[in-house]
Amino acid sequence: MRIKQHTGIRKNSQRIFIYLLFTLLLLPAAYAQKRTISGTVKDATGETLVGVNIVIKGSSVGTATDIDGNYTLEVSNNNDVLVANYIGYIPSEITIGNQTLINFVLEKDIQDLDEVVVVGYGVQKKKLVTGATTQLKNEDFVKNNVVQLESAMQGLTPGMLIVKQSGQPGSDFNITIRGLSSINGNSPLVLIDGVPGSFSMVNPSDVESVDVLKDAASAAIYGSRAANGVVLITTKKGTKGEPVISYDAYYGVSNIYKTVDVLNARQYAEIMNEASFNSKPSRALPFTDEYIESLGEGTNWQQEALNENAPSQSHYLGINGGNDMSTYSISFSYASEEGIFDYDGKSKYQKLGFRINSEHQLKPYLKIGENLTYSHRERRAMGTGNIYNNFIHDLLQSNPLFDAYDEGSYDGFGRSNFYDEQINPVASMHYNFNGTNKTDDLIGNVYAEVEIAKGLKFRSDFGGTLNFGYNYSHRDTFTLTPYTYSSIPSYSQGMSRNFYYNFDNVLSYQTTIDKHSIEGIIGMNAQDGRYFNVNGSREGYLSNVAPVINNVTTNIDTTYIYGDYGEGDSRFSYFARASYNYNEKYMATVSIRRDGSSRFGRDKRYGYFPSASAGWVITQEDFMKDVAGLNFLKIRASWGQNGKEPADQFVYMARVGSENRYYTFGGEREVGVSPIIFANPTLKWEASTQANIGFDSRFMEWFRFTFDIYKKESKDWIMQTPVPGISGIDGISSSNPYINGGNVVNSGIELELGYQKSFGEFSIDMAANFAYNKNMVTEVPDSIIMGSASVLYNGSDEFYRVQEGMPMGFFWGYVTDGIFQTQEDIDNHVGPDGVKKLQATAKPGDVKRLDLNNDGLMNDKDKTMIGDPNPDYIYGFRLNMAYKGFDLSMNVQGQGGNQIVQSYRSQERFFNNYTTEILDRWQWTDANNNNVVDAGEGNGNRIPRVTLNDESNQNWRKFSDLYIHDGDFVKIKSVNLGYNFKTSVFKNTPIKQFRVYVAASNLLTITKYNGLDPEIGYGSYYDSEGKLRDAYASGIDVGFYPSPRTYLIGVNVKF
Amino acid sequence: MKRILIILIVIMTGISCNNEFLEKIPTTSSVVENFYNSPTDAKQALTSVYNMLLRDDYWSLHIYAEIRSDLFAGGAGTGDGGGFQLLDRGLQWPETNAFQIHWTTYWGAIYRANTYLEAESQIDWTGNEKLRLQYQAEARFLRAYFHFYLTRMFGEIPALDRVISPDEIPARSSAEELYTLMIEDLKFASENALSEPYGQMKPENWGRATKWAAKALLTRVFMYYSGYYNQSEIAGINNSTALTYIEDVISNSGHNLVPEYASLWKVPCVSELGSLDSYAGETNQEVIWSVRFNNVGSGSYGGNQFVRMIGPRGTNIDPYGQGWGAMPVLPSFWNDFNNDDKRKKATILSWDDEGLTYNWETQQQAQYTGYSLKKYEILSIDGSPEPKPDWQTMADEDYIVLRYADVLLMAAELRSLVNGEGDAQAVTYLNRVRERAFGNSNYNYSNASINNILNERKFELAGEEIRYWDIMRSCKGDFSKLTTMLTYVDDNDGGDYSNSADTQSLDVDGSNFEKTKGLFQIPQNELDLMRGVFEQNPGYSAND
Repeated sequence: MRIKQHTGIRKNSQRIFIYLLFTLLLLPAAYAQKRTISGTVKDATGETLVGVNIVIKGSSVGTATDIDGNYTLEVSNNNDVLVANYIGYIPSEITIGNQTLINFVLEKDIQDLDEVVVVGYGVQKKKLVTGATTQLKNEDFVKNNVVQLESAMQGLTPGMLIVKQSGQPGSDFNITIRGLSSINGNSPLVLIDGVPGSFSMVNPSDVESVDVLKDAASAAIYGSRAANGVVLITTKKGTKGEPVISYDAYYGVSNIYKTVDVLNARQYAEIMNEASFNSKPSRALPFTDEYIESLGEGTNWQQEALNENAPSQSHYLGINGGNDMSTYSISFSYASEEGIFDYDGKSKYQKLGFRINSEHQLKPYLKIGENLTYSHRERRAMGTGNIYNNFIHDLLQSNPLFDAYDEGSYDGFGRSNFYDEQINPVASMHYNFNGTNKTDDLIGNVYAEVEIAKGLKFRSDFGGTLNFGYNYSHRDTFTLTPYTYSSIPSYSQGMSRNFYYNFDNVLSYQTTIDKHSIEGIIGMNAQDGRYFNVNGSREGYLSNVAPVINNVTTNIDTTYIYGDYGEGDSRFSYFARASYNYNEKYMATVSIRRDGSSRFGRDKRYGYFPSASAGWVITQEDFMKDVAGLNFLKIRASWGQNGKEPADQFVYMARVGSENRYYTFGGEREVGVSPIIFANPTLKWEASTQANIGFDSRFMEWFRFTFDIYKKESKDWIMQTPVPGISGIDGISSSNPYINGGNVVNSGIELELGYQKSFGEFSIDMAANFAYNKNMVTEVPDSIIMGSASVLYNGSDEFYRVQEGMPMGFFWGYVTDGIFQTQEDIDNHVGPDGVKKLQATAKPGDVKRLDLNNDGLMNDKDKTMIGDPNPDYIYGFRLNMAYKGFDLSMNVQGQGGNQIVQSYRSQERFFNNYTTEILDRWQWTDANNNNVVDAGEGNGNRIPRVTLNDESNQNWRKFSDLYIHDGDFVKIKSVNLGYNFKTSVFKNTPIKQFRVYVAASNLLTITKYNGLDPEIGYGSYYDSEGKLRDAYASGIDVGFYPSPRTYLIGVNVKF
Repeated sequence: MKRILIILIVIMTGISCNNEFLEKIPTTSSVVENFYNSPTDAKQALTSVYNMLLRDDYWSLHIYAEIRSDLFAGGAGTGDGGGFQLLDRGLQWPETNAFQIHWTTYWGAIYRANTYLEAESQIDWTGNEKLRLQYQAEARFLRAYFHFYLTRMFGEIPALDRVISPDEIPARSSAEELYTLMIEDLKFASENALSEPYGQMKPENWGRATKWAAKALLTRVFMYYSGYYNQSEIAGINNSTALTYIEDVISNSGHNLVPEYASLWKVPCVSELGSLDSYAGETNQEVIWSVRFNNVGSGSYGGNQFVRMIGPRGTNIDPYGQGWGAMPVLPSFWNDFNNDDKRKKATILSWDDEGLTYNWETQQQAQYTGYSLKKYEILSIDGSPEPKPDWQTMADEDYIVLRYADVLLMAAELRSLVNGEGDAQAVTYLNRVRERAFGNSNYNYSNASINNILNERKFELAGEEIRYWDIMRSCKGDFSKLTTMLTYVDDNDGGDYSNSADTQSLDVDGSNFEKTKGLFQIPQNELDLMRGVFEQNPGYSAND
């Protein structure tokens, strides 16, 4: 391979296309005699620029500079103007005249402020933006090489926290912008090319830009659904010019980077003996000394379940092009990932999709176009999440005394002969988790835009999402334990269809009079949705032919069918916005949206959501001209209000239903009907009000700095409030009535510092962001919302809550003060009267709890905040470097100030294994080794003595800070090292660019947390009805499927 | 241009069909205002009240009340936290909300009954006036039944004869008010419910509360009131009038004893009578009213789930199916039984006497006495529990609430109270039950003393959620008696039977039954939700 030294490689053709899209004017070109002109493009320092786009103004005719900065182009009209465009530089125009050699010298545009960002129902120049928005471009995240867009965006947007609900391929993400603002879900509104959708519907490579609208003023144009912020995803559009074909692919392998240390066989047996002795000294110990002597390491269950070198791959083919009339952008993509824990391909995610976007200038005043994205997703996943359906939880606490496989057993799986109720977690993976979920999504829109008069445009946009889901699953017969078994096989199939349409009509007007620029829009939006689903299952014997419901043979009819449909989830809205700026120095925007929603009762159906914002570019003022080093400074302030609607339809309405209301008279089961909800016709929108002050700056030419400070008040949560049982609620529904109530204030700061410069052949672009947020609940109806019980183990107390004066979902429990070393310690732990023992039934080795309210009683009133799952601060760092043909990029993500509750062990099952942390337990040491546990002094002052979990002090059963761990971490999310071959290598081929790279994700995690992964997205959960519960809860580790470490190699080719 | 503009404006505003567009109603459920129209709707609404009877689960009062009685220990699993053992000793369950599910479930049932009684006036009953009264009678019967359930557990609860809003917090009613509501409801039911005698009743009506069920329940409610509160009359009912109600059931209901005691339940039937062929069935003549568990197809709240708690933990030895080991029988009860009494082995499984071994330690049963309850134990066939596939949720055996033997004994007791223990008819009633149990008249009583009757009730109705309430009412308001009657003394019963550890070996707080008057703890969550308007029952602190 011959690599010639060259200078000034700053190529990134994607940027060029993006830029082109917004800068080309839509005027017809005239053609005449053709001749060739050529030239070189350099920057102010004399370095040549590679990949600069040279086009004839107003046409699609153009080319790009080669690796040495040279270009040639055929032209036909001396009156034409050549435009040289390069991202980060001021475009330059030269009229051709009779020249044949045209050299450009491009000035660095240190501002990059003329770029436009996407705002609701339009675009706006970055320098005129008065709200708090962040724009990510394709090149900012595509090198993270991940299948899911959310994952690609992690750590890039200040104030936006993205956490995966599980590290298993294809699982969803929890996204929070500027802190938790509702107990009712915090996901932002996501629009894809203006159509409400979800992240999973698009492929990261298809995304041109993602604009995150964080403050209320920016989001207010979306009114009643914007309280959690808005994310606008713009997919790639076609550009005029020669078609560009790009192919991107990678292949990688993933592995776990850390397992949790649990007791090996010998340690386990010793601990079990000790626990048994501590609980019931008179009883024979479970294991004899000889047996313990014979034990080795035993089974490491985590190792048994690993899928080493789990493969992942991705292929993306994109075609962009167009002419004066039409532009198009087409893509096809395929990706697959396997989980790092797996059994027989049960943890796998595949995604296939295509996209067709096109736009046609039918008349000078009429433009039509369409965006359409199809994606097919196929997911097989093993249970993660709550303790009852979580294979990781099983792996971590299964005893190490038996093998995963046993040729002697009827099914080849080992069984514990120590304890009957012990399931073999690998066998459980085999027998459970046989479901496959497939999804087909179509999202798209067609639009027409008419220019009625100069500056006056009307745009009508009809779009929607169509989603088909289907799933199937089977359960064979098995006997895992005498208690966990399935005695009859079953099979289930289900299918669903969801359709939403979205209809926007917007009239816009823009004009400039002298230095006054005015822009206004007025529009309407209508949305409606419908769903249909049917699920069936049947128990019996499965045919070997094809496991479908029809092939299940049964003696008795065990067919269960459930079907549902609904329609009319409707919204109807008007909105308007007016923007004004004077000479791009002073600017102001006001907007209002009036929303109507069918999710509310007649009297509460309409709401108004206003906003106002203003900006002042101080550097435009004469008196700032002399401030050295400050190139640009804009101060901005905004205020706005948004709403949030209930998660479900009809929650306000008094309905009756028949589910679970039957009774059997004679031999017949008869239908019963009664109310299913306490109606609340006065239910209204959650209301979020936010003020934001910030500034954007450019200084010392190469630096940029953005700062925001905000306060967001989110009140009137649509919540279900517990009502006294005496009201009869249990006869109505298992869910409580809906009311409005509560208030939470999020206040914080966000900053982003960027630096971008070239030093000869070396260029660097980096950005660091940091966000601090304080979450404080200021009002809760009845002052407390209690979290669920039985989250950590069957029968565990509630331990997270929403309460006035505390952050949302804070951990609530006892404060401990070490371990009682002696009986004397216990006797001395007394109430204020100096006599009454606070923990009279404790024994040495038990946990000492503090009587915080000093009332002489040890009870719930002594529980307090012992941890906060919400990070105080989150941060990210992004680096791009290039030297000659090499480029290196890196993403770092971190957070701090949050706590994690770790509970890997079901406390009610004393035979379950422990992590090695238990080796630090309090253990009484006696010189004579006479096995007396009630006297003497022990050692160890954090982990209490081991028992059969039945000690009357309830060391672990009473929730305390024993469970709390700090959750700070920093992760090197991705590193990507690439090399661009010189185009001269491919002289006689159509290849225009060829880049190879190696990359790694999750290369390094720095944390003190001892669990599998500190980045924990579990807390809230979906109940048996599929409804989100405790949406405010987070940071709970009951066995979290960790994110993998992946190494991959890839290519980017352009033709 | 202008024209285009006008068209556009028309489009934008014209789409606003607005109010209609946003007025959406659900497709899969009806709306309250327009549901209650026809007698069919009424039937469905009433069915939903009956449905609440099916909520019994592992937490069933049936089990809890028996554990508290003097016949059973706590049992269950070593991992169950010791609550069952504490309950047995009259102590507080470790978790302050342990009885919330009882509280909320049965208030929910009362809500449904009241919802029915308020909504039924919207229905067009023309031509169905008698049906209307029958349905009203059933709804009021159930309202009384659920109140009775709650008041025995929690004392003087509010008497609710209407639907209340979620933010209304009614105060406790006096016992008099409360029992007046129940008695009036049951009187109404006695007059208007289905009145065909057993044998003439339409099969499709089996399970409905009949006139006979209402009269029997009225008698039970009255006797509990007069005993527990030591009162002689409520709502016009005293011993004499109650006697007329219960004797009407004896004479005119068509119900009667079945010949073999063991044939009433499946497992005793197999073990004592040889096979299921002798099973009398769920709709036998002795059953006056039962909860109709049924499990056609899937779905929750169908099966009888409390039966799964009773069997030995983790072991199936035909016909004794496994359970979760709750409610082991105390040896003292086994010993009290006369060996000639056929009820002894029909009621109790003695592992040693039947030559069976049960390894309770490896099965993690929290307590083991050597004896298990046979009645309602699930059946094991070929070493696996019935019904299949899911013995835990699909058991469908009916739970008998009122049976003829109980009616006879109630009548004997009232006669004895009214006419003295020598009352010949009372002795006859008592001996009808006794003679069936022994198969002969050798053990007949010569008088119907209250003591003899209570004793007979203990043996006849053991494990049927009767005993604990018999003890409560026999105190006549002197709750110090509970201490001696209910305190669990390890030594007398031959040990603490505990599998492990502290919670099972707690010191016995003998005074607690007296302090609590035998009532249960009101769930702390509910007291909190009622913002202090409601007071906790005596003897329970909210602390620890």
